[in-house]
Amino acid sequence: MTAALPPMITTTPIATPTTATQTMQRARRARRGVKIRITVPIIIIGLYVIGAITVPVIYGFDPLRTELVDRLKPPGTTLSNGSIAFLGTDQIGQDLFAQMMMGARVSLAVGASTLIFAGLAGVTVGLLAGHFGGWMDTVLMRIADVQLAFPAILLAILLASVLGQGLTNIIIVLSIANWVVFARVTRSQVLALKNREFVEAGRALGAGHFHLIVRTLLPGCVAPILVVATVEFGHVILAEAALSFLGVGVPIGVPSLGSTIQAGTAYLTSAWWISTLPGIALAGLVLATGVLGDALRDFYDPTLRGA
Amino acid sequence: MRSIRTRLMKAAAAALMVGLALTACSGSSETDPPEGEAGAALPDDQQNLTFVPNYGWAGSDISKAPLEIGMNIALKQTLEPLVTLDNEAQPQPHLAESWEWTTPTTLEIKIREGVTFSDGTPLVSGDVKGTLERYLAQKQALHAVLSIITGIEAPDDSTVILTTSAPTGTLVGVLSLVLIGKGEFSHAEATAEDDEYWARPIGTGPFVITDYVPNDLFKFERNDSYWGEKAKLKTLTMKQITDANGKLTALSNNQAQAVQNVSYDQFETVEAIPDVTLEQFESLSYYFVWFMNDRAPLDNPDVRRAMWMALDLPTIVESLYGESREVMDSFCPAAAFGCVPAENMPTYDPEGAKKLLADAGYPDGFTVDIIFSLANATDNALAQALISGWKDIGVTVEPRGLDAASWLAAFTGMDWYMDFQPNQTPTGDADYTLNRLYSCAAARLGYCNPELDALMTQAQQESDPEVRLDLYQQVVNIMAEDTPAIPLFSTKVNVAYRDNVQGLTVPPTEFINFSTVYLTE
Repeated sequence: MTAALPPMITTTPIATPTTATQTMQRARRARRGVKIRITVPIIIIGLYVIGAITVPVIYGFDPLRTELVDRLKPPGTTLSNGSIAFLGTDQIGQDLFAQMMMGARVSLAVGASTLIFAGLAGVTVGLLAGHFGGWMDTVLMRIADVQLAFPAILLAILLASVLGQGLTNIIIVLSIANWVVFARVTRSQVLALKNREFVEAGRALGAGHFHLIVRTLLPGCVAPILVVATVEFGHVILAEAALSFLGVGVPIGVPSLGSTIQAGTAYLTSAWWISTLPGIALAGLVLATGVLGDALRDFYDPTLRGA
Repeated sequence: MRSIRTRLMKAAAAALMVGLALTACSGSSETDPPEGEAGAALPDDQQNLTFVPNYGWAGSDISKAPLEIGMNIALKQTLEPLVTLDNEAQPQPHLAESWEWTTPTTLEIKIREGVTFSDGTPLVSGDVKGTLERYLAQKQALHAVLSIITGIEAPDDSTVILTTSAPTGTLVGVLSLVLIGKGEFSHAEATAEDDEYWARPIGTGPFVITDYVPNDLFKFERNDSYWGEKAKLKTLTMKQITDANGKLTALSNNQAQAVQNVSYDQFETVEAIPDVTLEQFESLSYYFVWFMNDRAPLDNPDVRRAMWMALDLPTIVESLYGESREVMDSFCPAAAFGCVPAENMPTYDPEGAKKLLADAGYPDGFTVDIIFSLANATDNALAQALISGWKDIGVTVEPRGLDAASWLAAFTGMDWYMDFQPNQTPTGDADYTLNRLYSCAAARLGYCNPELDALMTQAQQESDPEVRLDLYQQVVNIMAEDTPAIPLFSTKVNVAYRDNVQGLTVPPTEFINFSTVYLTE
């Protein structure tokens, strides 16, 4: 017994002051890394949001107005009204920068609304399935499984073709296609939480289902839901662009990044900027949300930190 | 930039050539003939041409949509009319050997002898009778001009006698649009077998349909028992590609040897593709905006006139289409007989338009919709340009771009306020377009003016060209006053084809005859 003690002490890293400092430093570095990975994407997304709100207003952008004499002008051209189109103009003479920001407005609005609807539905389903279990869990999760087995973008195209073009329809379509992820994540989190002491305590004190779900289970699910929401945000924006690109998304007169890219494909050889620049903008936005989602996950669950 | 583009194109072409050599699809591009000199014709098993038409087809039954340009281009390779029109729009014998008006209302037609369908059965008068009965019973776009036929008789195998309700000099020209199918599958009361036959008809034409995929392609093979000069191509494929870029890619990598109607914005790109020629032809096609004339607020002629005055058509046409399209001064293309310039056409005047709207009781404008087919690739920009013009006078127009079949359903179901689309005057005569579309009997756009009807009927029955021109002058003047529609522009057609394609010309009707086309080395 006594012979076994010394090796135990030496193998425990916290016991020596040098390794303890190293661990602290590593943890601090990792925390700083996470902070940068959270801050930078938030700033980028913030810039998109500010741009989407202000630029169309500053430019007085009207998606239904065409300026045919200024069509297909390359970036940096001075237009007939004296202004400079620093990202060029499209096939009907609209300023590409203003149009892209208007498109970003549509993308962000679709992304946010879809997250709200899909999130509300998915989280509710997940909470109910996880908390009650039994037949309710079986029914709801089998529905989710059936939908998960079907490619989300195909389902979205199918629904969009049936419902027709329109912003509201896109939000409905994407909400239907995206609730499952929220439901799945929430349910697994509830399953992990529902036997924890504080939930047990609530139950022992006579709390009802509503109280248990809203006051004990839901707060414990917020972190993973936030992470999923951030990642899904990027997916939804991409899905909207894809639908608009395929012509089942936004109608003519509502610019979206996807529809602008699509319109530009006819001019790839003569006016490359119409498709390329919104494409880069879309990639930047989706990349920022992806990095943010990843960093948030690390932030809430330090054991997964890559350091 | 141009040189980079040329280099890219060459790189793409080179990559494709390697691909072609590997798969041995077609060996036509291995050796280019010296410039300005056509090589020898390719051997028969390599006479395979793929053509990308500009118009889609909503189906394959021509009797149900006899005027759809895309369907005509395809089905005229297989089915033939009694007469064809020459370049002066004069009827020439085809399946009919001769015809004669025995009385002012009786037309006797002699059927050409020795003509057989591609399955070997001979063409007889009963086939013509059945076809005409089917066309009449379908009550489709041709109905207004065919409905003057009151009796069809086939006294013997080579004679058809038509009786009409009034003397009609233009009837023979109209018959050039009726494609003759088999009588045993053509009845006034269509059976399931009839519809099945017409969906994939066996005809007397130079080609036989071997495959049809809705909204995608038609495949044809040479009809070796054709009664006239046999086709030079072994197979012909008509492939629908609506994406403007896809069309050019198909052409530059030799997937397609000819594409119809490259958009003006792509002229420069096409000219940069090696071994490809772009040629423009006059046509009888044009674009119009239609109003639903009996639907408020468009039931008021002043409102319709205001909508017209809101459009700066010369600028729209010049910027979007350059020299490939022309602003019109009449209600049908100037190339057709009787399409004389109207004397009082509205012109661009947004202030005047606002005043007209205010006087009509719409000082704050109104909201209507406009439908159009997404199958016509470059129409989105046009839709936006039109909508932008209307917005300037306070009218909100919601665009409803629909796929070809949905558009046709909405259009014929009259489920719209406004519509814009390409149209044709394939007989080359104003009677065909004006009387067929704008008479009270046509009931196509809720427009009816008995005075106009009387003039058009008179013009239809008159045979003196001078008098007819004078009558049509009155007709277009009344129409410019009533404004049931806005003629937007007449179009030139163009074809971009690889240099080894010979004998390809586009007649004004755009119904290309592929039997004379062949490929060289």
